Amino acid sequence: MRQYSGYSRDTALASYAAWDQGKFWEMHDLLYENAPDLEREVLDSLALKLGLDMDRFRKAMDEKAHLDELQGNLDRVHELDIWSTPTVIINGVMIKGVQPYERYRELIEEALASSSRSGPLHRIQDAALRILSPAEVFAETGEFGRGRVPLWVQAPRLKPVNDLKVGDAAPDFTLPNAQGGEITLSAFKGSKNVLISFLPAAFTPT
Amino acid sequence: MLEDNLPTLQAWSQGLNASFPILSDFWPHGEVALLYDVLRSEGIAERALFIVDKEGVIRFIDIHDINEDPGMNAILKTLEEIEGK
Repeated sequence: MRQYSGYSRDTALASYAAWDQGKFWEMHDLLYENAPDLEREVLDSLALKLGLDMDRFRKAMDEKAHLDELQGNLDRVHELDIWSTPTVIINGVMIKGVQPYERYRELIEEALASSSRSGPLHRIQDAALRILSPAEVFAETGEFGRGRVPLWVQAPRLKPVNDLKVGDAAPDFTLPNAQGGEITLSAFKGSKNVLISFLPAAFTPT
Repeated sequence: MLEDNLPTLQAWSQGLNASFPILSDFWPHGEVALLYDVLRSEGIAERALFIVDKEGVIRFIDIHDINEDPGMNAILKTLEEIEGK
């Protein structure tokens, strides 16, 4: 059983309960408006505000009617190693964190350009779409599949933007330092040579 | 320089006891990696090394497989060249 933080489990269950009555997004918006104070009484009052059938809503909440479904979704997300908000999957390529608009556009255009509708990319796309709507997978298969779906396609390197070469001026940057403060590359100009090492993620073996 | 958020890096760098700054390229996500052409489209950076000399000029670029250890020799050689030794 996964751990849920704060009100995340009950608010998710309330969203499901509202979804039963066709008001998922309305509940979603109200939850964000009322965060972080989202104890059960508040959830009930939001349901009332949306004009939901309160007996039905309360029953769904009391019985935790959608807990298995929620758990299935969470398991799936863990299985897919999705931790960042937002994580977007385009044609089977998982994109973690916010990217510039152009990156999404590039990947969507690449996906559109791959014309085969029955090739592996398309199958992965189908799978990716399913991943994004687990309720549909559930409706279709009666289960939250485990390991049925290819999860990850190595994403291509992006096209060079600056096409840097030895002898070019190093683009300047300022970034927060994990040990505190900020570091600006150009601050070392005239005093120090700088080695910049890019690593994909913390805990990369060094 | 990594694509992680600061709390993650703080935990990691404390464990490493690193003598160099560890920078977070988390927000806007991968902006500097993009600037240096080392951002992969799934949102993580290549394993890559750049040496920038005192004039702010790139003197060395090495982009290598995530599973490869680049070793120190090429870096030391470049630094010696820069220092005219």
